Amino acid sequence: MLEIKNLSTHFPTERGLVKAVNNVSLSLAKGEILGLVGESGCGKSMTLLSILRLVPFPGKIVGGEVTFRGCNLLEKKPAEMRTLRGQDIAMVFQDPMTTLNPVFRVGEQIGESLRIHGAMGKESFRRKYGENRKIAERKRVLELMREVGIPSAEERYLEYPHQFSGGMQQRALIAIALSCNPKLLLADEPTTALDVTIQAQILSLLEQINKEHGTGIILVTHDLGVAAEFCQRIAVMYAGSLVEIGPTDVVIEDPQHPYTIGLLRSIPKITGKKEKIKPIFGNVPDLAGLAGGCPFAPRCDFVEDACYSRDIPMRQITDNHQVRCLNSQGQNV
Amino acid sequence: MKVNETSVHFAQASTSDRSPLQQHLYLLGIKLRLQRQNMGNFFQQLKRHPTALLGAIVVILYILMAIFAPLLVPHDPFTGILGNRILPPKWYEGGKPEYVLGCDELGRDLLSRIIYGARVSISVGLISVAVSTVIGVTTGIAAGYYRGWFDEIFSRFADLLLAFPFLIFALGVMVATGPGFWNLIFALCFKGWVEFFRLARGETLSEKTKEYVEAAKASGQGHLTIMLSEIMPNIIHSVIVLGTLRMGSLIITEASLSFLGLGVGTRIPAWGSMISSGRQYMMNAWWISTLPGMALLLLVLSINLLGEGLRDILDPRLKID
Amino acid sequence: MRLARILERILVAIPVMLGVAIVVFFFMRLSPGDPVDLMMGEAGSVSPREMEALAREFRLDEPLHMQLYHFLTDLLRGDLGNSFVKRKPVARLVREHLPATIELAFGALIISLVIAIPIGIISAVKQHSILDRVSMAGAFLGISMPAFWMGIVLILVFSVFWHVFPSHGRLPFAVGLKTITGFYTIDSILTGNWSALASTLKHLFLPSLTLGAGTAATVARMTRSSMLEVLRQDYIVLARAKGLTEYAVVVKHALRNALIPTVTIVALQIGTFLGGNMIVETVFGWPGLGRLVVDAIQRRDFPLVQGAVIVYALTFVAANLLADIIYTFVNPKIEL
Repeated sequence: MLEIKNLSTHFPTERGLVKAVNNVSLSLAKGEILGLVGESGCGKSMTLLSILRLVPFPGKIVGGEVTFRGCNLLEKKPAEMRTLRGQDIAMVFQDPMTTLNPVFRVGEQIGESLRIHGAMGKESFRRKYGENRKIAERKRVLELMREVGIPSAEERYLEYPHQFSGGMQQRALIAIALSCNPKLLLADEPTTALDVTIQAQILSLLEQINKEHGTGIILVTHDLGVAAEFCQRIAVMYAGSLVEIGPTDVVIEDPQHPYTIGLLRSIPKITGKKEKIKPIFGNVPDLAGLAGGCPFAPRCDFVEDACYSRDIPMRQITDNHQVRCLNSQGQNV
Repeated sequence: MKVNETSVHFAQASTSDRSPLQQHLYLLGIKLRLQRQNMGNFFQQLKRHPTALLGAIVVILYILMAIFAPLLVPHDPFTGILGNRILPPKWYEGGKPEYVLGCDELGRDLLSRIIYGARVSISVGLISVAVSTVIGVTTGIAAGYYRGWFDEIFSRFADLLLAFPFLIFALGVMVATGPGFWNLIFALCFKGWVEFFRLARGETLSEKTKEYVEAAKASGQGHLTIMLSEIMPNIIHSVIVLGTLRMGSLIITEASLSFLGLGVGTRIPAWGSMISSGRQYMMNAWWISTLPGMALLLLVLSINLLGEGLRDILDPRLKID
Repeated sequence: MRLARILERILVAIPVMLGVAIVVFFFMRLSPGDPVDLMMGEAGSVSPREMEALAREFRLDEPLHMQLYHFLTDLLRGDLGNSFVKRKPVARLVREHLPATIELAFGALIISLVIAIPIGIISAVKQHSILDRVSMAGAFLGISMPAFWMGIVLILVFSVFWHVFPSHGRLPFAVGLKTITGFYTIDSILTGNWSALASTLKHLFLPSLTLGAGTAATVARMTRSSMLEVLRQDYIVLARAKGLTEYAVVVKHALRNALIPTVTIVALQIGTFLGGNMIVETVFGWPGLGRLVVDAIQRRDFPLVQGAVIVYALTFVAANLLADIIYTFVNPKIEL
């Protein structure tokens, strides 16, 4: 359904060019959940915003293709792009407290996407919710609010965002995203700002949506554990580049990239044998000063001279498992 | 490694040998050195704000002009020559080359009067800002530091004064006291200190809870020492910025009062009163009232450029964009 | 909840207003010299008997606290005393001159908002563009500009050189407008006197522009900076991700938020209008409250100055109160 090829998004800054998204290629099948994992600032969110072509100034998509249902989004006109946003591709943001507009009522904000895309005029919606658009819109919004688990939707419809708790705000944001039955949901760390118990609820809500509507989801997270639990496939990003991608069980059980291995080691485990948590030493590199070669090389335990010398290609390990590391076995893609 | 350890020991020994006062001076020395580095940095940054630098240069020129006015004026600004009444500037038909900007309605050289007018604006601006700052900052720090009845009284009084528009209040005071230089200063400072009070009080309230103040208290320093040498240096940047920005509006207020005939008095040339008296001759002698205004505008503009530049450099929190 | 907050604000404003009245009272009494002497000023030739009568009229023979008591009770009844020069109640003089002043303030408000808010928005949306730079330079000039000088320059350019706008007054006698409310714009519409309306608006333009310039500059800067702040927010990204056009993002989602501080600032600017109107009314010969005060100062008409200062201060307090109340309405968070 979604096919990203060699996507690059660059930010010219005072300190130099930042390659926030560097030659990223990945794909998403219909109804699939893909986890996009990496430390903060590695370009995960920028990848999502690039798909929607909403990269903030001064960033710019400089190359690649984003094919969604057969069309390259990067070649679409702005007006065509707008009809896609919120209708076919919707996004859920990281911080619900700042993402809802404080001066509009929540019900109004959920209904807005419906109005922009004229959803209530569509055949399927008309049949379900009736001809009167205003009444239909209200019905639809209330239904969405119930679906995402907002209790006493009738009252909350008229409330302002600051009257909602963080978890409820995130539910409202998911309702906004779901309003037009999107084919693709881009979830940018939807649980980072929330309490742990709420996190689990929101994630299972996303899973339920995926099952019921067949919505494809890209779940961006810095938590490999979350990705392992909810995603069919996992893609690991480091410093703007994709370093490993494969089915969840393969990536978790048999990680090939030293960075993925490091990430897995740094998660505390409850079950299994006693293991020491091993942090990855060093810091996330400054993206502005990135030279050629493997960006992880300075922190890597298995580093060789060759790692610094040239850009490392993606290598195919098995059918759908790819790794960007010179030490890995396999064919260059 | 070893060298470092010994030097740490040495430093500890050397500070603990000192008396509390010596120790304090020692720390103060470190602080001053740090500040001096900051000042070096400050001039570096000022260079990167060309508009602020320009403003600073113009303001300094104005101050020099005010100080050396008696040496600079080409003619006597106080007595006019009847034949020179409403004489146009020299580039106009009928202008005389020795009267560059022409003459006013009493035949006095306009350029000389404008130069002298800088004395009133500059001195009123500087003195009223200085007095307002001293009063406002001392009471503000004390109110924020001690709280209690002292804070209560001054805060309520400040609220009360804020209920008056500045010009109306100053005007009321001037009406009650009559024109005159020190009456003018009094009228401007009577309400002018409030903003400095509020700034200093608010900053003190937030600084008071920080570690370095706690540390100073724990080391047994007196309240006065803490206020003067711990809190004051940390709020002085904001005070300087506010003082600069307020100076422009105080100068405009002074000119407005002079314009309404409530300034330093009719005998001393002030831009506001020059503009006012020139109004009657607007139809055939535009220069009498517009040129002093130009001098005023240029001064206020430069002060504001400097103030906004200082704000960007010293106190970016106050920045509006 | 909102009502409770508004009530609380009003209750807080009452002691402030009382304090204002007391401050004004003491300033006028404690000023050096005998108030009667001061009042007579240059008039000079007044007999001792007249002086005594005057002292009684203004209750100067009573102890200070009784004077204050009478002053405050009179004030509560809306009695501001009598003008010495005009021999009329101050309250009536104020009432007569108020419509002209309000009309001018409204003109200034409209002109400043119509110019300033769009400029602020466009400057923020097109940050660093030429338009942004030019209008912010203009706004900077605006905050540094002394109003009286600007008025004089406008008169020189538009009245003396080009003869486009009149330089003086509200309306020529020759137009002959029947006054009903005292607001000439409203009166001319009510009586259908279109030539008077045109003339009124022409007379109104330059003074309004002068009075509004500083406010326009402040509001434009404020709108721009709060707009820039708002455009950085996450909910703007969400609005775009919903598929809204850039115009709808700016006008609907950003503007509503950006105007919250702006609206408050505008209400606070009424204070500037109050101070500025004395200057502007003097420059343009506008027969409002400001002219009345300046006249009273020049003629040493003490009770009139005192009454007008109180009216100004109370209006200012009321304006601040209004700003507070408006703020509770534009910011939904206050509802809590």
